Amino acid sequence: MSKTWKEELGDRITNELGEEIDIYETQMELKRQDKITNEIFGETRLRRGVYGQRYDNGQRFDGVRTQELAYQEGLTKGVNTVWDAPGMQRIKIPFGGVTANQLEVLADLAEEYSDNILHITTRQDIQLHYVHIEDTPALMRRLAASGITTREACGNSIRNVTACPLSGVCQTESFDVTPYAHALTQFLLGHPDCQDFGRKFKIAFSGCHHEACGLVAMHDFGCVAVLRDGKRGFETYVGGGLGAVPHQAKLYDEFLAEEDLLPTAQAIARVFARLGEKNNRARARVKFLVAKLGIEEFKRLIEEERKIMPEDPAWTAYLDDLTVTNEEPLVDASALNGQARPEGYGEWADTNVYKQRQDGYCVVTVALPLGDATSDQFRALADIARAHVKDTIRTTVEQNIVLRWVSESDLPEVYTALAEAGLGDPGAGTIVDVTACPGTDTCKLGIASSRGLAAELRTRLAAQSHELDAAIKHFRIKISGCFNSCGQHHVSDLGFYGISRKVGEYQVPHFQVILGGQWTENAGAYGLAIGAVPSKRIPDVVTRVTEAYLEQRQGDESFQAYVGRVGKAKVKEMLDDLTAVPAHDEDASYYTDWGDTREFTTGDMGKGECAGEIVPLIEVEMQGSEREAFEAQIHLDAGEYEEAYRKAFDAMLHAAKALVKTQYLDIPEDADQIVAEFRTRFFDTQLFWDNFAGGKFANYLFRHYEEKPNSHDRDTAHQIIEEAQLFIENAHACYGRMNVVNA
Amino acid sequence: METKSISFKIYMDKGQELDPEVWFRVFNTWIPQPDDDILVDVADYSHVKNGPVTILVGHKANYALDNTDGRFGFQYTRKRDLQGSFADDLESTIREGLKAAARLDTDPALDGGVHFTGERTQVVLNDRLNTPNTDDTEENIKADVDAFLSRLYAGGSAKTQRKQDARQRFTLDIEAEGTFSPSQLLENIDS
Repeated sequence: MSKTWKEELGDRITNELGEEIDIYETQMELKRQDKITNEIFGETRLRRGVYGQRYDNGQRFDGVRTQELAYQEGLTKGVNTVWDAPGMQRIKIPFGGVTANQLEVLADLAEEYSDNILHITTRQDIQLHYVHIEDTPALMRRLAASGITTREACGNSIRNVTACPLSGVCQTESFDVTPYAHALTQFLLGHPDCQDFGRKFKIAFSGCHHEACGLVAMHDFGCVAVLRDGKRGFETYVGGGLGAVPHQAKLYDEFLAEEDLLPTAQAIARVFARLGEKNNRARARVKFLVAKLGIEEFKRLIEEERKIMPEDPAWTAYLDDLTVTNEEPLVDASALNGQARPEGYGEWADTNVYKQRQDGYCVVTVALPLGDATSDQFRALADIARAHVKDTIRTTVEQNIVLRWVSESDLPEVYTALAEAGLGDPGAGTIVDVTACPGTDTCKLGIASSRGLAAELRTRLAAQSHELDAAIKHFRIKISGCFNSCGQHHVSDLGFYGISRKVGEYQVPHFQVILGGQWTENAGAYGLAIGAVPSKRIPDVVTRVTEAYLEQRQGDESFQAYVGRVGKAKVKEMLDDLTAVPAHDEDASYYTDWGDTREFTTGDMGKGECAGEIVPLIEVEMQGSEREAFEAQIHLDAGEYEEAYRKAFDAMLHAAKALVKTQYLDIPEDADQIVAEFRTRFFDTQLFWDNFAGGKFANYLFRHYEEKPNSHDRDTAHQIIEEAQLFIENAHACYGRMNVVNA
Repeated sequence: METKSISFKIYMDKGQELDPEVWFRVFNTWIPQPDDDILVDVADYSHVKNGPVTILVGHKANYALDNTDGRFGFQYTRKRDLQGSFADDLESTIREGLKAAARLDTDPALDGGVHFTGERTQVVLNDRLNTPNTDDTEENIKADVDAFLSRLYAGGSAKTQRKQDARQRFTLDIEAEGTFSPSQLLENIDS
């Protein structure tokens, strides 16, 4: 009889965490016995970080046709999710803080339950892929014994609380936000007021305004450290978020005193649980509630809620000991004087070493390609940490790991040890350090291969890194596999998100090119899509745009300013020839994605002769709608918000009309009739529905058709342009599906 | 002695230079033609150093081109449904691993671009709970391992060396005299 981890670990797991996992294990058994529904079990496992993965519906396209994967029939772990199909385990790492011991436990888990790879996410989590659900309780127990919980890593819950990885050692922070991130994590974990959300809730902390730090502007609740007359507090923001339609967070309070932090977060959670959307998950984030109520009303409701909340000593108890997350260096500070510098050290130190505000100490960034490391590399990091810095290790939202409190004199030795472990790559925080979500590699929602593209760009850019002009060296490239923005494409200099386009009878992987985003200032501005380019031409987009910037910039002009000055129309024009797709028999490489040799598809392909005659017409119409969406952007850039709004709405209407024409060729040029026909033929029939988003995109059209804004401003115009873009993308997808149905 | 998961790696002296895309393509063709497994997906990790390169993920086992420790080879990891004695599980894992290696060895898409050195192999007990990297585990499995290696290498000499880092899984590096292809090793097991 083999042993179990439950017996082995015994009292090394706290009662609370142990009971949590026992309950989960019981629910697994109930599901095996078919005594709880797929819906309930699905949310149960999600709240423990046990996530679905691509092909878990038991089907996979092999490049020719969709094949059934011959799993045992019957048992499922969620709606349309096969029990035996491998899944992803997300592991919360609050504020990215991890110890050497925990790195070793994580390494062991990756070897025994996953594929020997640990993946750092854009929210400082760690993910393991290809995990069987039967292994998850043991995996959770081993994590719990090392002080890590996966509770509420996914699902409609408070997700990982993130924080600037430089907190406490940063030269520009107001104060160390780590103990506050830690306290809020502990306070809200499993809190009764946080169990009835319509969607997830994300929190971030930053030590200062102007760096990227915690990317506060794109979070449901964001906190920037502020000192006022020597007293600690936070400038707080609510209602930010990326996703399909990004929202900049709204200022909630210029100075929220530290003692008010926890109760205010609790009050927000209560109001969100009570008033947030529950039925339409596409509009269930806090950002929609804030937008619906307005920030002043939202704030009033929070303040009212606070008045009726019962006092909780936990609100301020943690303030008695803010040193709980303090770090101590292992090695005395000493300067890097005459030590020998190993080969490659200089280039690495230029990009991967940050001088702490504490004299003689540095933060070393370990650049992980695509956020991936092997188990052996995690163990090597644990060894390096023990030799040089103790447990002062953090993950970052750029999918890297930092070692803090490295004495300057230790830097060459640390570099040598990292290089020996295959972790000595330079280029952290530069254009080479491309961020990407999992995309089609493992994500069920991925449309195009974000990781494949990221790997290709990283390889090409790393080869050129010695020649790269300083003006573009610190560009950020961020890639998402779909519009859901997990790769944070909105806040990069060059952002891309995956889409597909129909060319003849084939689907071709494309990426929308996003320009104008801002990484610094806590994700200070969101970019907008300027056009779709075939996936295989994206490296050329990077080359062309960066070269044009270097040639045409004026003085120290930033890239954002450059794009603003020359205009997106001009930038788009310089990419026009890259949008062409040769016929399949001329160059089939366009019809596969990066890092995947299969012919590209977003589902089963079909060749429809019935629709054939309509194809040229609808494609013309679709192009017309894309043009209008782009024109809307030009108006937006020019400050013509009303015109931008109108163009974006027209673009949606145009795409809707294009679809209606496939069934009703003589549809008049009348908005009332187009919307009515579109509703009847494509919304009510669910033809236009997205597998993930349902009818969300159609509702964009209906909402703007029914409710015109009383006044026009930048935010409103920006939002409808985003929505129009998504509406058009879904029209393309719908058209692709229709051809399959007709085939 | 029971263990829940065993890996078997057979090293290669030709094949490392192939574009990872080649492995991806080959493994992708295996998915619709499984051999006693449900094959699910291909994962590319060629961007990490000294780790897995390309993995064909299955339900019962993973099939990987692997460069851990800078030593390139094909690794078969049996991760589910081991239910026999240790000797049975060891044999079935190595047998299945060799069958997969032999399939690669003769895959027309690789066109002779690979060469296995079956005289250098590795066995990993992928279960720290039941088979930790200790002297006790080594002692407990020694007779089974020796007996099987004798069959595998047709009575020839085979040396084993255990990884000593206690944090690592129980790992035996095996080196035999002579040269062996995957199909020869399979024949040896069956003879």
